[in-house]
Amino acid sequence: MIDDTDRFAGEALVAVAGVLPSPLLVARLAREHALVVGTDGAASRLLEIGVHPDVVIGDMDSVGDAAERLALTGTTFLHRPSQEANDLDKALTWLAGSGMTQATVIGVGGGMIDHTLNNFSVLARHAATMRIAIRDDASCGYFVGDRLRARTHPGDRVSLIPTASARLTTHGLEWELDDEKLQLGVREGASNRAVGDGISITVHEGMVVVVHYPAIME
Amino acid sequence: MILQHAPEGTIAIRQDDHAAFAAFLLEHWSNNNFTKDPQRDQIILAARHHDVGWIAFDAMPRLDPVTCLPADMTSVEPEDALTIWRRATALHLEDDPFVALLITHHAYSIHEIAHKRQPAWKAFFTEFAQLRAELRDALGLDHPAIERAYSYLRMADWFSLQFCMRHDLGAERPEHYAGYQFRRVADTLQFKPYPFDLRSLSYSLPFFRMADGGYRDEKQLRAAFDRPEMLNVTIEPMGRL
Repeated sequence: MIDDTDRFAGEALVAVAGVLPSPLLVARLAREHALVVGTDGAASRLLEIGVHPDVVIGDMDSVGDAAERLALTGTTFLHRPSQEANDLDKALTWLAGSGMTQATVIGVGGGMIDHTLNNFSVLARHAATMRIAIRDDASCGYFVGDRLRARTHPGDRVSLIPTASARLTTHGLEWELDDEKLQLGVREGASNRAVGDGISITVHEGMVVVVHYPAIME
Repeated sequence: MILQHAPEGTIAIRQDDHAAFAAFLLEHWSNNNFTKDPQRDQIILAARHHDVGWIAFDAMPRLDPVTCLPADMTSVEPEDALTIWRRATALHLEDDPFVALLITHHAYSIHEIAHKRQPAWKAFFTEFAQLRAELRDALGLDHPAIERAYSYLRMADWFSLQFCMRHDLGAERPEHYAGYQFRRVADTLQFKPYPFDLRSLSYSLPFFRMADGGYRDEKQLRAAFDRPEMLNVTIEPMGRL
């Protein structure tokens, strides 16, 4: 089965101030990405688990005592005081301006609910110009506007959440979609299941977040 | 990327790490009444961020097919230079145009030395000369005012860059720049006269050890940049020669 999820990894890891995955996963993701960016709220937590961000970005109101220690290891601080954008937006804007085409984001959820919803909106906006993945300990989410093919195990949970609306066709799911429309507030595609060793999601219009819960997290 | 070739092997230093070292030197610079300079913080910030445009390039280094090592800053093409310096100047265009002006002037000045007469670089010089003029006029500055502030950035950049590039810096006889003699003895950088606020300074400079014989492909090369080692640099007065 063809798997092209690796195009959603490798360039930039962005940590925001929600609930971060386990230290082992964060450390592994940091190794697998060329650049580690922490928003100022997440920077000190990265440092606590032994991950040194290359860049810290934000209004620097919550980086605290970690700033001095991070500065000693060469971390670059990009002070962005604007209140017009949240720290995730600032980080993704800077990455896009720096030539990065991919970002894996951790810590998106689990904090305050308005922050989580706002982060989803920010991610959807930037996903129009960057390949964006979100990760936690149990799942991988991919913002897909074209096609995604992923290896699965039978029974793996797969959810399809439109960023606004999307028309798509699926292969390899228990409840297939055939050129059908998903729309926020109208119809979502949560908690579907893979039936074999791979799935293919083709998005004809709009964008969906494909959230895959592998039976075995690799 | 900066490469330092030494008898014991080659090391790579990211541009942004070199810039952090340059800013560190300025933070401790006490000569010329710099500690009371009203533009001190902006000059230090410009030094710290002057190579910020390299971050993405150095995070995913390209393989030089001839050397099998990462392509370094001396092999930058004009199109990439435009991209790199646009990113650095854009960082402060809105929040602090003076910092953006210093970085713009730096971009123009360093490439002027090497590339001024090359047709391929014409677009670069045209764009950065225009941006520099716009910022200068918007801030109501004249060229000497820019040069006065820029001289600190240039000097710190030069000291840092020379240390990062040359393991044998000043080995035969001390180097001279801006009225200072300097040389490297092992991992110690010595100055005469000594311009810093403390009699001895310590700094940790991240670096990456390159494999003998280089790398086969970019995947292998990028794996070499997984985790930096730290070079413990001491800065102290130069003794009797």
